[in-house]
Amino acid sequence: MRWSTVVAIVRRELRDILRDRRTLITSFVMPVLIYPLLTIGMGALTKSERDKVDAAEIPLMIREGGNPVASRPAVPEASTPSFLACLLLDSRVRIERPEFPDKALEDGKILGVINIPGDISARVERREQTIIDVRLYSAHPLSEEVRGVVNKALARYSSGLVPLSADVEDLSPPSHRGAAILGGMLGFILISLAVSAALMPAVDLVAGEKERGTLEALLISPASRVEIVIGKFLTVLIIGTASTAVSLGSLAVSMNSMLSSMKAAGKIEISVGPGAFATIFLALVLVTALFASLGLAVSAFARSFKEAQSWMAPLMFLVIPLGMMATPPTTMLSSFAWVPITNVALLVKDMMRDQAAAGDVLIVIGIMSALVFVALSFTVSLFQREDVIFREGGVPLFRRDPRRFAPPTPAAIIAVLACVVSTFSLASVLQGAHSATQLLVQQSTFFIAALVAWIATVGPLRGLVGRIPTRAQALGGVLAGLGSFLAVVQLHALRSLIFPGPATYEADLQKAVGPILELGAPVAVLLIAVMPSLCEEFLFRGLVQSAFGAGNRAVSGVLVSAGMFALIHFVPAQMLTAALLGIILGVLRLRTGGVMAGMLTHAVNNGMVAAVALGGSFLLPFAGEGAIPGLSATATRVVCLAGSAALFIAAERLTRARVAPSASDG
Amino acid sequence: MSLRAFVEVQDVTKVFEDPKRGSVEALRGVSFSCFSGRIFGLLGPNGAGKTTLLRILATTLSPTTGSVSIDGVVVSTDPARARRSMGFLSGVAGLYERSTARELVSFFGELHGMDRSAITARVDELSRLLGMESFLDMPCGKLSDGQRQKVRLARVLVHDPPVLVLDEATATLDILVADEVMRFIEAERARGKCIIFSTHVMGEVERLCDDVAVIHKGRVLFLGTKDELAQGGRVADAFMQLVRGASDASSPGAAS
Repeated sequence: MRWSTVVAIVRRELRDILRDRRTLITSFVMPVLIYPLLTIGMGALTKSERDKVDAAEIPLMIREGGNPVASRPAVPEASTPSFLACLLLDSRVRIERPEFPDKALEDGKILGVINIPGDISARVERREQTIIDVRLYSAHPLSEEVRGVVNKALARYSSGLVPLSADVEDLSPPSHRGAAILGGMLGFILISLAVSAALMPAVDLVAGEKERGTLEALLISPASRVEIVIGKFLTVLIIGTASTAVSLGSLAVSMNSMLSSMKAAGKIEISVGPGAFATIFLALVLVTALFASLGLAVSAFARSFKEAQSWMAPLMFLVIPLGMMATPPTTMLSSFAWVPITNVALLVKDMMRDQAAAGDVLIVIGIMSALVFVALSFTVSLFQREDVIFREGGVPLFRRDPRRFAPPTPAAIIAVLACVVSTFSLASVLQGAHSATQLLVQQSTFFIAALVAWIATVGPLRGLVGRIPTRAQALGGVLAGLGSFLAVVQLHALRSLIFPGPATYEADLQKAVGPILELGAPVAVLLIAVMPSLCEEFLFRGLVQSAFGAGNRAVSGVLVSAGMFALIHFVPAQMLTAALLGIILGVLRLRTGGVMAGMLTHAVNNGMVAAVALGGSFLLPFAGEGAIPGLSATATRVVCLAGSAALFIAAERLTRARVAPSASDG
Repeated sequence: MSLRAFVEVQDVTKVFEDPKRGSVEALRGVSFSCFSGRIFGLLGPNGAGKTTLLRILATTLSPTTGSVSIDGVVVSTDPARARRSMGFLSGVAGLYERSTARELVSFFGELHGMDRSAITARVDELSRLLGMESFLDMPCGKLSDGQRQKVRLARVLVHDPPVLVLDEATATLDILVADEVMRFIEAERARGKCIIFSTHVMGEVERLCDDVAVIHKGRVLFLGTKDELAQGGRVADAFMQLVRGASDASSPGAAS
């Protein structure tokens, strides 16, 4: 073997791989970004869950010498504390006296029953073996806290030399313990199996066929695009479901053997009834269906099998954090029923211990079915686009802007940056000023910077505004504004997961715009709704998006302008929602060829915020807080998101460009 | 005998939005008609717009302006019906490697809405006509280039369409198989089929084509019969003279 040949081959292959931007992104950039984000997200989630547990009450029944303790006894500070007093040092402990303690334990009305021997102090003094009898229900997410309370009390009461210990009896049935041990992890594993079972055949059925030249033969046949997509989708679904079923069987056998010793001892039992099994299977079929359609969409977009495979990694990166969110024992389905993937993992956990509420199950099935429908419709729309099916270069995920602006010079970009920096400085200089003054100065700076930078570096001002929208496009802008309000505020509710805090939407809103409201409704509407929609749209969608999105970089333009738009919102919790709104506005700018439809969207979105702030408390359920009368909070959220989706679909139809591209436009 | 125009292309333009080059005009005002019982040769150098035009005929691309009708059906209004009247053999079309030739041809018969007995009869007929009996039940992945091309032909002929569009039908074949395929095409013309034949091989044009269109940079440079193009000489010479003349006229400095 000649090593020089081996080295030459390695060098060539490496050079080839390093020239492939997608491989670089999926192999290096994404892991560098995703794991810190995952750690931060999981850390924040764990902390948030821990905070909730630390703040939760621990209802206990405590018996002393066989007699139930009625309430917290007053303990004289100077006296030596009793074991009961040591227990009650934990302020979370609430004393309960249920008539049927075991039933109350099973129902979760109390978390534990603690029996303290009546002669405990005498026994301890005599250094006799003393046992504290504890009964709990380990399937309850907070049951571990009872052990913690007892162990801390033991540590406080004795120095360790006294033979004092706790005997814990778990009253939960073995099947519930099995569900508690396997928890969300089993759901996560099943989802991962369902996702990978769907993605691989999907890639082969479209990207593979494109590469082998068999897709074109099918497209030329009388079969319609819808028939082709549905045919391929069902094929992937059948294969994916069968593969998931086989994996499920294999996993069950392996786990059965792994947990056999615990099962023999009667400690745990994995038993899932036919109804629960059918529900879990249906949820997994929906996960398979969702990723079957996403896989088909991605591989329709890819030019080759290899490219499609490289697009699959981001899809997997999407699944991991959503699935992992279900693993902490305190994550409840009722709070996450509307979060896709996480809800399925939690559904598996709750179905295993027979605790899932029918309403939550329906929401999970409904949300997942709706997503499958949306993903499948998206796939059909991609198959109907000749620039996707016969894609030869570029990334035409968004329709190209028919009006090509002259790209601003670097001076424009510098001006934008200067504007943002000056806003930050102004914010610190004007820190003590009235919020209205701060807002006025900031918005005026945006407006002036956009105008100066454009005129100085590009030319005709009409280019900054772009094309005037048609009536339909303007109406689409208004509907998108309503849709954005509904979607963005739901995201605001979700942000508590990432930026934990006790603040509510109403409190956040009052803090942000309270002083402006005091100036009266007309001024508030002007400052909150009108000015930002004019000034920020000129700067971010007019100038920044044109500067960074010229030529074939339309997607970069949207992302950079949305990123800068998010940054100027200062408060981390607002950045997330601003980024989403920024993306919506950027896409509108692309679709309509101008900033005016986006201005309407921005004004309507902010106008709704102003309406809530100006006392429209009946609007709060639509702002992610509280519930519509007669509906649960989760159902309200689902209704809002569905409404938002419907508004966006209508806006998409209305803003669709009807004017053919023309070179003379530039 | 009165000729019927099976394919009518009227003033078709096609503009692609290329991410790097901006708007690219692949076809500019292309018009022609193709008739029953005649073979229409579509000639042009690489990048002339032939594949785009054929894909528009096949309904996989839509024209930016202009219209195409096949067997009286306007392609843009009812593409599925237009596809039923046509068999399209693309130069890059692949075969399902793990399907047998019989399974593959039958599958496309099903897509055309044929019933089981009609498919069986038609597969047997095509197998005999194209000499496919020896490999009809072999997986396509194990067939030679010539055998594969016969399977492709059988696939596009399974529903016996009145219009055949053949793109580079003999490109990868040896001279014997190419001759077999050409004889088959001649037989189909004799049965009254309207055939559009795209090729780079001028010998095939001489042998097969009745009418000819020469396309260059998206425009039709010549439209007429083969004899009108050749003007008593060779088709290849006339073709090169036309294309070179057009290239010289459009090159920088030609106007001065």
